[in-house]
Amino acid sequence: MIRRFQSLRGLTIAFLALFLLVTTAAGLGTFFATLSMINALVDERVEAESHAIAPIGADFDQTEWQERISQMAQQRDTADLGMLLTDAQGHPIAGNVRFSRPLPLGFSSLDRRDRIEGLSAGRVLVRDLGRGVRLAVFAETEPIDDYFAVRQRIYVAGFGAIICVVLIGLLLFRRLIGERIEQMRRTAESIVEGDLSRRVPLLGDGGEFDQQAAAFNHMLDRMNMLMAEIRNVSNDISHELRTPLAKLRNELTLIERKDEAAPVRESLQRATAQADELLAMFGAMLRIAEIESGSRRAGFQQLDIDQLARDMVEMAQPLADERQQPIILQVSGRGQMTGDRQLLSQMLLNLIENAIRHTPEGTHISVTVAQRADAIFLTVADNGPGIAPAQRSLVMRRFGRLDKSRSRSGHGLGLPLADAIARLHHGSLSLEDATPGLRIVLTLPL
Amino acid sequence: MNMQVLLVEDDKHLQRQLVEQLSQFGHDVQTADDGLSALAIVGQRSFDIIILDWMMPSVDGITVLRQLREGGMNVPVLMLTALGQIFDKVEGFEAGADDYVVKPVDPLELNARINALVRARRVNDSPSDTISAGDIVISPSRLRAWRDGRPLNLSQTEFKLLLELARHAGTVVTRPMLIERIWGHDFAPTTNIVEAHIRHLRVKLLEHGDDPINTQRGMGYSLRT
Repeated sequence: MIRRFQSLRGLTIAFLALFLLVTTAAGLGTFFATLSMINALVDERVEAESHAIAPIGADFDQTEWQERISQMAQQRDTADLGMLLTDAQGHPIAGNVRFSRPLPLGFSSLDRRDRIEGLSAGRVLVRDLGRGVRLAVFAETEPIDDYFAVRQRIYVAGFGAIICVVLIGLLLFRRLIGERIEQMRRTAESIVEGDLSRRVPLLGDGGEFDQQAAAFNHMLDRMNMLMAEIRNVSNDISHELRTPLAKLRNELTLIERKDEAAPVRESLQRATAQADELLAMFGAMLRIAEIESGSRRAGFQQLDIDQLARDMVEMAQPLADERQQPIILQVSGRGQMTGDRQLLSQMLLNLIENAIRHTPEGTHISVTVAQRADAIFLTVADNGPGIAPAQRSLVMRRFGRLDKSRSRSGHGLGLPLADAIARLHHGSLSLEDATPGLRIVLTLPL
Repeated sequence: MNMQVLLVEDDKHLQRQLVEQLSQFGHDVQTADDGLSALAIVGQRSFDIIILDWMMPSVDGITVLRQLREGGMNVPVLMLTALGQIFDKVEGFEAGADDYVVKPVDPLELNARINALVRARRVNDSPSDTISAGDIVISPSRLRAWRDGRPLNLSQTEFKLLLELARHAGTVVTRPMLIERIWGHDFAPTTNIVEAHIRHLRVKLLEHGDDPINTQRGMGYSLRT
């Protein structure tokens, strides 16, 4: 319960509910407190005037009372009062008003139902003056007609305005905070996707949000710098080693062409092949670095992934034929997406080549393009030996080859490369059990 | 093939290395250290091919190339680019480059490419509807090929392979060249896919004669003239 209120939305709702409750209670409280206060004051006045007509303990003097009633009905400060003197049978003796119902002794309230002209609410005091003669004195509690109804409206409008202002303020505040958090979240997400250049925008007011954003950006700058250093080191190593390695390899091929190399030609060819593998490895490392820099996103274009899959299967077909590994292709029939044609081709071809290379002859391979609501699923599966679940994370790591001693082919960068390409397209790569065999699923959000 | 080569490269070390390697293949190499001197040299004598570095101080390779083409010089130009300049390559082709090689330069690859460029230019200079190499005749416009007068039943890829080899018959076409030109890719497959395609093509060619494709180990393939 407490946890629910720790979110911005929960906190907003809780605050609003509490605010509404308190405002309503305060409004109602004020309304009713005023009402009872007015009643008490009016009661006091009615009582005083009643005693002015017939003082307590005075003798029974009906004519005197009549006199006073008619006098007070004339006087400016008491003319608003309603007064009635009745005999034991309830017949009026004197007064300026008639009642439609018998009134109880003591204080009671009057309202419109009593059908007294010009009265919407009032208080009345009925006293027994002896011998069944009763004196009723009343006064209006509403200084102006319909005052209470108007007051209710004033209260609703007043408190309503306060609630509205607070509500709007709260929503604006919530949106402001929400937007800042959203900006930060979006920045963090694009950083995760490899766009290290993204920063949280600053408002420029130097407030807490700006300070926080600046600190966050500063952290990103620092991270970016450290990562660039690491990348540069590995890039430099790859570049620097690649050039002398290429020279060495070329030297080998030049020697191999010479006539006197005939006796050792096979060894030279093996050495050249090994140098080629190393060069391919450096090439793949540099390619991964290039992809991870995110620079290729600028060249994304509309492409047909169905056609791309068809082309790659066709390209790999002769090799698969030679190994009696039928490739079954299934396409989505739509397949329009935005991406890097070269990289997606490389990835798909790589995955198909892996399936051909790492499974025995006669293995069935399937390549599937499926499109659902918001993503394209590219699947390469085989019914070969597969990869044990515990080892799947190993092959996703750079140079993480299974059984290093036996399988010499491949540089152990195929899946990390595919993974980097997937991430460049905001997608993901997952290894699954095809029971039997391995299924690699690439999810590309549209 | 002995050729007159102009090498425009500002990196002295790489320049020396390339001169040495190209000379080993029997080419005559003249060098220029920057774009301006390259333009001056081109005005004085003719070359079979120009190897042009992209990144040079003051006047860069692409500017030199544009000026050459604007001046009506149609000499084949091969650009040297740094790794991963994918969009630059497009710019290079649009400016009139004929081919490009990514550094570090593999001299065998470079040699194969300049041979191919010069030969292709000579073949294109003799206008003809068909291309022939030995007893193989290819009609690119009709997408048909014959060996010894008998039609060859080739797949689309096999046809493109044969055409590419025939265009450069007598010179080596490297695997990266085939990957680029047949499939349009800028990456190397991790298996011997190209070999597999060549084997399929060979089987069909062998139906009507001996094997006309010569495999140059570690380099590529050449079709007999």
